[in-house]
Amino acid sequence: MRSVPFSCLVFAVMLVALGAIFLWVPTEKEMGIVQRIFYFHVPAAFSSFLAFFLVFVGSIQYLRTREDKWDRLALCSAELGVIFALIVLITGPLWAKPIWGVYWRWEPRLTSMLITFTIYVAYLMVRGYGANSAPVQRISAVLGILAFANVPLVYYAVDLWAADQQLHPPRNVELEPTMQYTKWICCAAFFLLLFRLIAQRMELARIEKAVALLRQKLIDET
Amino acid sequence: MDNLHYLFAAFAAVWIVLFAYLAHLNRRTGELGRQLAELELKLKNKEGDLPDE
Repeated sequence: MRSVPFSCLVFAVMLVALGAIFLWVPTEKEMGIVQRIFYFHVPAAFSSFLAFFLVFVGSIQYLRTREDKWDRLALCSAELGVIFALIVLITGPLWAKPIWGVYWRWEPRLTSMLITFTIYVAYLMVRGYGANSAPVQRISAVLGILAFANVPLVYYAVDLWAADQQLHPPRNVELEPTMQYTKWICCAAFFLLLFRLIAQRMELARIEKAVALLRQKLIDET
Repeated sequence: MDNLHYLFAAFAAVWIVLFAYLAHLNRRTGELGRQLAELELKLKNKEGDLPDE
């Protein structure tokens, strides 16, 4: 991936997304201006799901091939997934307060998202304790596969639990076309940002590993 | 416009989280640069120790 042109593309799409959120899309009638949080809350959620899917793919591929690049993909995607999930968990309550009257309710989607976030933080902690040793890479890969089971639970939480326990709207809410377009522009901006950051983080992880190997080689030779 | 401060806080949170992450990456890159310089120095010292052929 050529980093400078791709970064320029990310920057341009983010500018378009900002323009769409603050200058183009109409204000929603019932919720008012605060509804615009939707345009970065939902794309951040989708981006975290995509990152967790990459953890799942990277973990399976690592167990199959034992190639470090797949482990790096899983690790770096988990880190970015946690970052985007954190954005979801901060912006959600800030939207909930004026609309629901409280920052937090233990309703299905909020709770399942918090559990998913906690599991991936645990994944990163496992990685932090064991650095890049092969047993830790294997355990993390298993954890990365099992943890992904939570992602569909978060997405379908509004269908899986009784309607009277829900505060989130159903999944198939009809949006006005301008709002729909803005949502997809913002999703594109967040996805591009996610890919750019994963690429950057993977490059850093690759260099870290090379430096660690070189250091070990020097120690062994002396 | 009553709830503008919530929109502002949410928008600021997105940027704060992203910038904090970028600062973290930057710090790690700096640390890596220091480690590389240290390894280069060790390599130079090692080459200096080798007898002339």
